Amino acid sequence: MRIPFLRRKPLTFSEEVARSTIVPSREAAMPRLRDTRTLEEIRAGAKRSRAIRANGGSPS
Amino acid sequence: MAAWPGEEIEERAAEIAAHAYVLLRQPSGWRHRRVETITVLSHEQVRRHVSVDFTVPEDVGDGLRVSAHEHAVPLAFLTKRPLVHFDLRNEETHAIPLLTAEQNRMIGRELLYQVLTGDLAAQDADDGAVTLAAGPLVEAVLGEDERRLEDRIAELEAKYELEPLSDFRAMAAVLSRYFIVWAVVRGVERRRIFKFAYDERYSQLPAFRYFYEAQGCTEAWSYHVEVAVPQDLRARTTSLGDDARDVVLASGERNSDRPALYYSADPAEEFERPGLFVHYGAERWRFLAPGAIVAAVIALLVAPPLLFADLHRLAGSAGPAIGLVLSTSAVFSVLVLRTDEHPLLRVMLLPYRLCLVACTLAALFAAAALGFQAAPWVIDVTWTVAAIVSVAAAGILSIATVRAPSVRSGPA
Repeated sequence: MRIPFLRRKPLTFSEEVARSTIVPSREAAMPRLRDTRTLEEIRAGAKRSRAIRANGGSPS
Repeated sequence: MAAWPGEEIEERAAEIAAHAYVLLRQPSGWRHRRVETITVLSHEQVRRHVSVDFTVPEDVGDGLRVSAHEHAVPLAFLTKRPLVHFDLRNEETHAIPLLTAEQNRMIGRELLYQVLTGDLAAQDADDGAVTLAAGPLVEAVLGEDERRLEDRIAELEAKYELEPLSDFRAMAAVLSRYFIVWAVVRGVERRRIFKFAYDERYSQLPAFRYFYEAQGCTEAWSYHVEVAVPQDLRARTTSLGDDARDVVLASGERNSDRPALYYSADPAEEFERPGLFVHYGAERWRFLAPGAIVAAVIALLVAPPLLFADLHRLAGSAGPAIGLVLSTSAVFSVLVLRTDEHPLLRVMLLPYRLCLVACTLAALFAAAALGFQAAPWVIDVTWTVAAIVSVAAAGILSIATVRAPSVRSGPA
């Protein structure tokens, strides 16, 4: 019910949030990545990366 | 000799990470639905129940194998801080095992290197040298050392004259503070629904408006969020939006006792600070309306006699009887002052209860002054104070009642 003579401009979403108790989330969203490699390309890259680490800088 | 439990994961960490990377890159492609229920436990604690309905694609499933019949499925990213009352269950409410912290680190390490490889593949760089140079950085991320993470990545970029390692930077930022919830699943080839829950504490501000962060709203093809509003409370308004962009994505029913919202995000869409805004109000007929009626009756018993009756003469004749009548107001007040209710409602109604208590005590003192035939000035003062307090309390409670949400009325 509206109270007469008490009309206020509706608050925007951010204005409402600014007056709110913030309840944090323990979760994070997966960041949106630019990488579009296929599974096979990722696996090939992973193999090369492991070889580099195993051989101290050289993939073979 | 067959591998011991855990050894297989060590051997297959890179394979698991590669297959999981494909899944994590497009969460809405295999997670059909995510349902989040927020249960208000008190004015400073909520419990979040999350259910994830998913089907692991056939070509990815085998790559996630951790033993002959088990697969590791990345359900969510959760903070590395200790979780309170964390619980993970399947459709039959059976408890589900998780990978250990060490196994999580093994796969996380491979995942970070794979993301780095993706960044380097797009540019002409000495990937061998960069991969080795990134080693301490990767270990710092896994070791929860997020100090100067941004600066250290910038130094790596500058040293090897690299284009910005944007994917690696984003992934490192997440994995330095969150871990992947790897559910160990039997029967990964069919559609599954897994549920996890945990408690969250926070500090209550005076207004009963809440912003529940909802980072998971883009982590499935469709997102459903419900609020289990405590008994005798209503969610006056409910809306899902992004605080950073000041946009509302979905709005719920007004004055609802269980608002439910639905949202389906564009896979490319990214929100900085998504969340659910809820403004609670006490149900009108729980306390406010009865309280307003009691306060109004007390005001009517006190104010007109003060204005129109000769109280000094009444003190000598009908004082005890009038005192008895006014004392009964205390009985009615006690009836509406009961406190066997949800902690949030108790906090919300506290100022209104104090109004009614003040009103009742003022009336009792006025009655006592008359009943004990106090000096004329004492009667004048106590009745004047009682009249002012009771009228003010009746006014405050009436306005609160009119503004309160109710199941018996339409939307406010």
